[in-house]
Amino acid sequence: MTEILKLNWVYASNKGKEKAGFQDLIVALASAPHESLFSTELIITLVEHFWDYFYKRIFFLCFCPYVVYFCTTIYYVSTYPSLGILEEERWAPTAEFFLRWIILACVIYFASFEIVSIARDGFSYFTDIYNYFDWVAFTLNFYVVFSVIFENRSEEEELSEEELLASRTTLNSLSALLAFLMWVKSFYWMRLFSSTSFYIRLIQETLYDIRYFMILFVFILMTFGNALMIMAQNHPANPETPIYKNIFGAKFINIIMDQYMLALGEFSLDGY
Amino acid sequence: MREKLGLGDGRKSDGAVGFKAIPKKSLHFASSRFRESLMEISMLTQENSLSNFVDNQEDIEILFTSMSPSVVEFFQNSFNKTRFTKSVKNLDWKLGDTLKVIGQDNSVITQELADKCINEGKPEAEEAEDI
Repeated sequence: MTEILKLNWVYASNKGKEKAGFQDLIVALASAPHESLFSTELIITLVEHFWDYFYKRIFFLCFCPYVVYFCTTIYYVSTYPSLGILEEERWAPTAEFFLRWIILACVIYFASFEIVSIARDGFSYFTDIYNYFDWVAFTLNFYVVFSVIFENRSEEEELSEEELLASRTTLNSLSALLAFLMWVKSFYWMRLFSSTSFYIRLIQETLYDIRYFMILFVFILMTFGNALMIMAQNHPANPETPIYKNIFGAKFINIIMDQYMLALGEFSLDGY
Repeated sequence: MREKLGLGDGRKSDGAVGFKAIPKKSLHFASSRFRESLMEISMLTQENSLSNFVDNQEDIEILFTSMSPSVVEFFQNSFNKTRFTKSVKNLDWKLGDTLKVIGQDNSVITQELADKCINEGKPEAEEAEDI
């Protein structure tokens, strides 16, 4: 069946704007409150029509730079923060030197998109959790690069690898958080492709739908965990065979983790 | 100035400058019952189309924010059929395709053109072994 849709209303002036276009329509669609809108034939047709044009622009101007940003950041945080660089190599043309400038350029590039979004969306920008992830990632990028450059050791300092690692635990932890955020963001980017966007949507919807079950699940874990935590106080402290492992340094979180692993099937009964 | 006086932007859309048809006005009524009734009546006609109700993006945003079963149904049936579209009978669809949007500046469509568009410029469907 072939049908016609006139689109002159998309380009008609409105809200005091002389020129309107699909950019404005995308903003209107993004802020539309009802999801059922997107399953209507009209919106599917409109999206199909402008997606061909915008896909290429998003792919080349956003996705490709993000791939560069992602790869350089992941390599950087996996390699340099733990051992750092020598003071003498701070401004030498090494791989780290080039990577740091690529990362900083990418951060500024992507931060400019966020600033445009803030100017456009106003307060509603701050209601999306992914925006916080972005800003935390940008800040951590600056912090990690700055720390790698300026918290150096000199060649004369003879530190063992253990001593070196111990002195950089905070930086390592923040680098781990940065790597985590970068992977989360790349997961989000998979929405760009129709073959993967289905699964992203599926996972998001599933997690949202089981939210009440998850609350009950945490309650069930704590029901047994809390009792076990108190019972463990009767157990003579033996660091080699603890009843539950000290992973996070906080009893309550440790016991939730222990019960969660138990629920997954990890039966470590050495401590009993 | 024209827009400030509520006379539209000067385009002749409904016969005369400054004149606005009731379906378009109904979007701005306080009660949505009028526009929903008008939409339901409009859907019973062959001339029903989105541009009967919507003049610009501001108008469609009103519909986006006030979704109701009538609006959803209107969005499903807001396309026009003309003698050109009716002349397109059978198309060589690619396997798995259910929709193809053909963007063009005129409303003339022929069987041959539609076939070319859905097969990305190729005049005939792909052979079964190539699919």
